Amino acid sequence: MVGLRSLGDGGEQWGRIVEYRLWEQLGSTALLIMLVAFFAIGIGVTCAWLVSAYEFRGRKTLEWLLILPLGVPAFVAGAAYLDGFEHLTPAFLWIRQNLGLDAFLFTQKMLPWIGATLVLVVTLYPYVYMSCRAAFAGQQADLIEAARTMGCSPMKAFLRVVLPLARPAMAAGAALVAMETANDYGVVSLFGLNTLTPGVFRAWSEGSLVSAMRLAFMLLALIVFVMILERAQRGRRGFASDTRERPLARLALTPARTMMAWVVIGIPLFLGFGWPVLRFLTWAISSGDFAGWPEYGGAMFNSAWLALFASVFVVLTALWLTAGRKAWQVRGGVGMQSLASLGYAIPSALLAVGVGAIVSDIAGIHGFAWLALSASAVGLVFAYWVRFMAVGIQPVAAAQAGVASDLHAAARTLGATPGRALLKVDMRLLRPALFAAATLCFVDVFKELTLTLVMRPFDFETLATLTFRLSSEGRIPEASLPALVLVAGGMLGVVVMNRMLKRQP
Amino acid sequence: MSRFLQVNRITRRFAGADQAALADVSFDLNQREFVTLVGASGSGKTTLLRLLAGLETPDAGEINLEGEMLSRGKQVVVPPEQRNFGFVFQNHALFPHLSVSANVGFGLAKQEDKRQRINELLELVGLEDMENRFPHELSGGEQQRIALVRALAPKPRLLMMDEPFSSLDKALRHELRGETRRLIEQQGITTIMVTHDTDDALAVSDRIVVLKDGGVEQIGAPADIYRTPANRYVASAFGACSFLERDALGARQEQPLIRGVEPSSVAQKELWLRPEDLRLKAPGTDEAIAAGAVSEVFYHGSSQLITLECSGRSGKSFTLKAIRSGDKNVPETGTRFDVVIRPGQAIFKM
Repeated sequence: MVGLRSLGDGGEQWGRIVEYRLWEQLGSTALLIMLVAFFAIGIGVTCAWLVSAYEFRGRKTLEWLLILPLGVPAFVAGAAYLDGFEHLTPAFLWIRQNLGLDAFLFTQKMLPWIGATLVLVVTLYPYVYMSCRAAFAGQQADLIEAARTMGCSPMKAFLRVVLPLARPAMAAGAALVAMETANDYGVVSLFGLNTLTPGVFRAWSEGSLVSAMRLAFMLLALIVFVMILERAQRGRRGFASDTRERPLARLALTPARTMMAWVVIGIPLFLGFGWPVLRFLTWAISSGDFAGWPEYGGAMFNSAWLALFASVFVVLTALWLTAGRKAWQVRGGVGMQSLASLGYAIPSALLAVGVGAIVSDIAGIHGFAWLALSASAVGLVFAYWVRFMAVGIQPVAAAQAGVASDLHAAARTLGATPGRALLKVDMRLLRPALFAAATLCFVDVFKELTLTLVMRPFDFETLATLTFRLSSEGRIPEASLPALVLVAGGMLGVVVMNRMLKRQP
Repeated sequence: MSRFLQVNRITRRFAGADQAALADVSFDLNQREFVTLVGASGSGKTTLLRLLAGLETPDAGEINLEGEMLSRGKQVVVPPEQRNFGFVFQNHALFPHLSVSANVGFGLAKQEDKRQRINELLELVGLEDMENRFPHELSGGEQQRIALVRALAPKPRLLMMDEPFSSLDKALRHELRGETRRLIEQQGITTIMVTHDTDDALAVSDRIVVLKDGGVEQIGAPADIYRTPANRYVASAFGACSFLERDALGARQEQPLIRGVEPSSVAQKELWLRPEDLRLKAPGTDEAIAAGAVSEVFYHGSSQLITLECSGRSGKSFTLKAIRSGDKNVPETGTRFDVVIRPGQAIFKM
């Protein structure tokens, strides 16, 4: 649908975009994705290997602390760093005086890049860390030992066997990082980078829906291109071995090396979680200004009900797509499930533009004009539903795979109808997974910024949009309270995610 | 003469385990010898192999190879990567991300004739066409062959195989154990194989080390292990065996029951009989040691394994297992037979 519309006449607007903005936006997006993915892989893999292969004091605590930055929305962390960068002014003055104007301009140009990359890396690396940790935990010790007996030192075995084998996990984590980066609106706007996602919204707000759609499609193409590139590179290689899974015996670290491990793990942890939280806490306490309470409360209420509606819809759909389609033996259900999971890969910008177009089309039909009024809220929930479907499906599908299908069959042979069996057996067994799915989805919607920002009704604030608006207006101390609430919500998601990870074999 | 490999009083105890995985185990290996470690699961055989490879550390004891100290007490003197031992893992442990030739060449240093060595090895196992395949594109037998030549590629001082055939079906394992044995002999490499399959052990070994509960039960050539087992455990592990107290037979001391047996051994108290030591005859045979009725028959095609419930002359009842071959008719349950011992076949124990 969006694809068809994007083929329409772009008019002179599109010509102008191509001439002035397109290449810069494409280039910036690609570069940012590469930078962020590169550093996130470096940090994620290193931390995952440290906690998987070695034993040292505090390992277990650090193991779960490392996913905390995931609970900090990137734009919230960004706001904390934006302020920090202002303190660098004396350094710039020094550069200008001592190294000349060119150096000064160069640093001025580099700074947003460094800032945005840093913020995105330290908040997104847990995706790589989590997938690699799971991969390392399942890695067959036999393969590593085979390498050892053939003359590899532990380090060499890591480079020649462990790392190549963890590649799908790294790629999966990096793909999430790349998608989140491509999707990001908050951080790049705060730091003033001109990437595709803000570009789409800019074109849209300038009134050229077609241009916006074309840009959004380029974003999708960019992501698909990166994925295909990685796939093609893998070739026919296998990554799974039927060697029995025997976890690697952890090597104990000496006290000196334990310190090193702490430092290595502590840096991203501090940058991604400690610093932003500390920053906002100090602001919240020092400003002591709670005059904004009614505004915060309203925003929080908006965030909460949007998240609630979206997560209920998502979980119901997830239940239908996993257990339901098995119970009623719906043909083509698997295809529906993977199609629904794709929503996560669709850039928010594309989704926003598409849903926006659909809503305005429907509202144009006679008798549906009322929709235009409530349109944005309905559209917003619909957009959340599409985007976060995968978040809901994944835990439910995983739990469903673990539930013996015989149980459902047993209920059926004992005379239960599909619906009754679903209610009495499957839903009971899937309850923890359904709860987890709902929580994760709730948290994701709760802190969602990009979609909300463009699709929300006029004058409608959620906690995320409020925090973002205040920080981009430079009113960071005022943003500290909603930011902290967002982080607290994020923590809820982290706790659920950590429990789900632990239950994995 | 000092042996090629010396394992001296090795002990290994895992944290939290009541019993040591290995307690005071010693044995030697000659150069070019093919030795098999046999035992049930939990006997410590795999632990022993991993200790030899340096993948585990002993709590006490020494491992020496050609006079070089590899492990002593709790320290691994030589780490696994410097031992130059080949290791064939139970499920092959082929690197799934590497092609067949890269797997075979993994342990080879970057040298000019690396390519040539890989081709040579692949030819040895007839898999030269497979060099660009990946492990998951190979059959079980092909994977096993690649795992073997991968371990042989760096010309190891010692080859270790951990249950190399356990993932293969029966026909394939018979084919492969013969092929493996020939290949190793041809390369002249000293080998230790771990298996729980006593058939494999008897078929391919020069010597067998029988392990039980972390200790050595017996060390010897296959025929010694089979014909002169040290105890009942070893005797039953390597095939069916009937253990009889002589009193059960009620034989008269002055008249040797079994022809061709030294009178001295006739005085022994126990008589251990392999199924092929016994012949079943129609009732009324003179030299019969016992008579009984068929209680169970396992038909094997070329032979039948028959269980007889016997009552000796003294009236005590006991069970005998006998092999009957060359007879097309399978006896019905309850059929009565007389039992005769083939000359010189029984094992006597005090």
